[in-house]
Amino acid sequence: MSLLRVENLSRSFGGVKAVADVSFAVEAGTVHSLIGPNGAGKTTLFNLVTGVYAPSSGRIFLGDTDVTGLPTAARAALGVQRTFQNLQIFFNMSAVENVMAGRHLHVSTGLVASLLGLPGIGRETAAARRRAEELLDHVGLAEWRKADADAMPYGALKRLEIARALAAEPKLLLLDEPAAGLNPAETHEIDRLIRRIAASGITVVLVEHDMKLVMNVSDHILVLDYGRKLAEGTAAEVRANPDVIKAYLGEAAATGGRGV
Amino acid sequence: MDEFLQFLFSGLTRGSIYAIVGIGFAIVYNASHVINFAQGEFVMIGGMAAVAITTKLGLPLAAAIPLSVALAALVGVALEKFAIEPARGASVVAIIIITIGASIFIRGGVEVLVGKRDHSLPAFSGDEPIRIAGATLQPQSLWVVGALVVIVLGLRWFFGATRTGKAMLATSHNRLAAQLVGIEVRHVLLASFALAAALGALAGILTAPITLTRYDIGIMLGLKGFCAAILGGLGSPYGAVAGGLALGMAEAMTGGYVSSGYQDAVAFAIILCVLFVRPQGLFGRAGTERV
Amino acid sequence: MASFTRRSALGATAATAILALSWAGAQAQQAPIKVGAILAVTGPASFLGDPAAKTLKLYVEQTNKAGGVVGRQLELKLYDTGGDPRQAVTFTRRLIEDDKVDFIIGASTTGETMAMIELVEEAKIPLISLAGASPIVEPVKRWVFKTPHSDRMAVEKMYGDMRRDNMTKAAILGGSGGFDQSCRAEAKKFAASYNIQIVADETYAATDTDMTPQLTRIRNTPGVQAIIGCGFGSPTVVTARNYKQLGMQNVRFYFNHGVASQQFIDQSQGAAEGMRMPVAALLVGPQLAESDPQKKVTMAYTAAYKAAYNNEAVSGFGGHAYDAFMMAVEAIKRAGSMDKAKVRDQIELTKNFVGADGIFNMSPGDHMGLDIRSFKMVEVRNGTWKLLY
Repeated sequence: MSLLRVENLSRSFGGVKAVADVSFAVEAGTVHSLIGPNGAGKTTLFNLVTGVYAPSSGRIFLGDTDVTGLPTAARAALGVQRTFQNLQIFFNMSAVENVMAGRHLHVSTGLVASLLGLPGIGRETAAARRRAEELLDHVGLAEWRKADADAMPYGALKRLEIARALAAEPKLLLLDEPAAGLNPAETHEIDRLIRRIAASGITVVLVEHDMKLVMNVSDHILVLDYGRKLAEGTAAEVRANPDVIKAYLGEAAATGGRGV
Repeated sequence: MDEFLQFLFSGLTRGSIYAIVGIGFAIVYNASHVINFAQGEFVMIGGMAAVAITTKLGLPLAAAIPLSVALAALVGVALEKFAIEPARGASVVAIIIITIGASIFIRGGVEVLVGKRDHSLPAFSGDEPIRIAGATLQPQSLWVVGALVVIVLGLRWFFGATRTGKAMLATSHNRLAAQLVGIEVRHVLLASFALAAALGALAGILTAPITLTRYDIGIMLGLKGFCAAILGGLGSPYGAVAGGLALGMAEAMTGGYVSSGYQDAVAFAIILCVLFVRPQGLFGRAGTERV
Repeated sequence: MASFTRRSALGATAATAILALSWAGAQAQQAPIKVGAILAVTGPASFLGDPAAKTLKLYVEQTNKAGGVVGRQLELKLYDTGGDPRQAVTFTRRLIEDDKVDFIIGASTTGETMAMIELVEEAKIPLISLAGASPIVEPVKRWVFKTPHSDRMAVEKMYGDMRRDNMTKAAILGGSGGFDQSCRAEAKKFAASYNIQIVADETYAATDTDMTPQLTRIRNTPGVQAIIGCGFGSPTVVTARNYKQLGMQNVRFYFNHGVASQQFIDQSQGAAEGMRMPVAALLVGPQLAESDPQKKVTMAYTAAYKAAYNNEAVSGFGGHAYDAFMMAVEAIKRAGSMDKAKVRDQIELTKNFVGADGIFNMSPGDHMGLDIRSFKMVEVRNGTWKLLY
């Protein structure tokens, strides 16, 4: 059974069909990429999968659970995490606190325990902090451990968001343009991070424009255009697909810079 | 000098009440970006319920206080569930108007049930004035200020050490991210309204022995609490405390040294100043967005 | 056959007509006199309107039991304004246009009454107000009368009391409402003629809940000997409590007659001790001398009110309503009918009417009819009124 299955998913905004009748499945343990021109509906699809938008029609399954009507927090509890194109960081907190927030689902002490001052809280908070620090190291932010989020540069913040997502111990991690705005060296770091994450058993779906990264890292690619599925398959299959070349890769190659 | 001290005591007492009411505004705003103009009515419910429980049910004050606070919390939750939540997609202005409507409704309900006259609560520990360096203080004022201190400490612990409090804090800063880490924003909203209502009710009970209470006492106190919250910076409960105390002092000093007729105007003058000169208040975040 | 039918038809018609007319006539005779009342039964001025409402209900019933007035029963149409002048206007219109009352008693407060004056003058219907401020009858309006003592008289009584104890320096403390302002204006106007100097003048807003700044400023004014309290309603309770908190009992506190209610004493929780007020005789009925012309009326009213309302303490405000009602009834009796213009004339001709709150002598130039002798000066002692003189 696939970890994530999407059936005939559609979403319209007014008269515009942002996502039109898309179906696909993501197998556990793979790295799956979502590509397409700007406005193809990739972020909308992420928003549908994570419950930020409700679909106009279609269904979404996590394993064999129909999550179509569930809110974001409930899906998070079922193991779905994501990062955002436009960085949804807790800017009032420090780097460590941001990642610790990701431990929310795994910290169980509630109001009563705190009221009674049970020794559990102190231990749990310390454990959460340790885990957060480990994660910061894992994503390459060891030097930013003590920093405040609003003092960190863009590239670091992208990795911070990934660390927070990992803190929730997800089964499925959706990364929305993790390499956007990064220079080649930083992009290379993200490439290696994604492989490390996949190697640890987490299923990754990413939206990306950087074709080199996509082709290197993906087991399976899905191409969207105008909200519809244009093609899917392995990197080699997609690269060779004439529709894909025409709609997307061709243009990208023509503008130079980021091509295959 | 003793004159100044007398004005200081007056300012501290009323400022503490404004502060407690203002915290309620800040907490609800944090969770929902809504300014709940029914906050003043929670203050009224607290005092009136305590009066009703002690006089009609004959229970002692020590029992009436938690019961009244619980009742107000219930009303707060009901307000969120039945008036705010259904309007979730509406614009902020529309929701604010809803809260104004709710406040009129609550006030009218109490008026019909209980009537319009004044009611008094007995002072918690008697009303023999305490003399300090030539000025006098009612014992009830000590209860008021003491309660503010306890509330501030309590909030620090709540937001810093409890899961619910931390969830509320996270939601106030980034709702989307909070949902993502598994925080049920709807629960946070309900908890915020309940907490704000409870605090408001507490303020109402504390102040009733000094100022009496009646069905429409929430209007002015709500407005002054709102002023306190704005002065402190709408996102910050501690800012609301600073704002409330500052407002209380300003009122008392204006009444004492300038003219007693202008006291009420102080709150409104402050609101206008803040909105024109420094909209984020004393301690709020400046409205810059990271692009 | 035809003539018989025509005659009996004629007769039947005549008989029916006579019956119908006399029935109509009897109805007209039986039609009750409608008494309109606009009172602040609930709300911040309820201590004024509630006893007034109870009084009117009681005495309308008693009058009806005794046979009514000029052979007609009385019907009371009462509206509760909550102290709001806009409600007073709305309800007055309703009384005049819908209920078609014959005369109106009310309102309880100055602000409300002033709003009603234009309506009753236009409708030419007698109004007897239960509110205190002088502007209600100064200048005199043809159809408007009042029974409570004016604020000017209250001020003069207070100044007179100060003079008796050789006090010359007074501070004024009052709110921003209509009655308070009027009282303050009178206090300022008459100070000089009593050789009294106003050394401080403090205000508060009707919603204020802390008067310690104002009282502190008064306390620190050099030489201040007395405070003239031009207050009204709930702030007066807070004022009393603050006065006690600040330990200012060495400065004598006078409150105006609008404050004189048992509710004020009770809610002040002991802070009203020692305060002096000019009040109507009704409040101290049992303490009046037997020879006092008001003794009989006040005792009778007190007994009737207490019996009807569970031993509730009487107040000057119920007394004003009693005086207004009884004066109107007497006027109707003298006029012989409920012709509005005739009744109005008779009210204006009231002489030596012994009421619960004073002895009235109305005239075309004086639509209040009381003088300073109808005030008694009392002091609050042990939670109740003690007659001084």
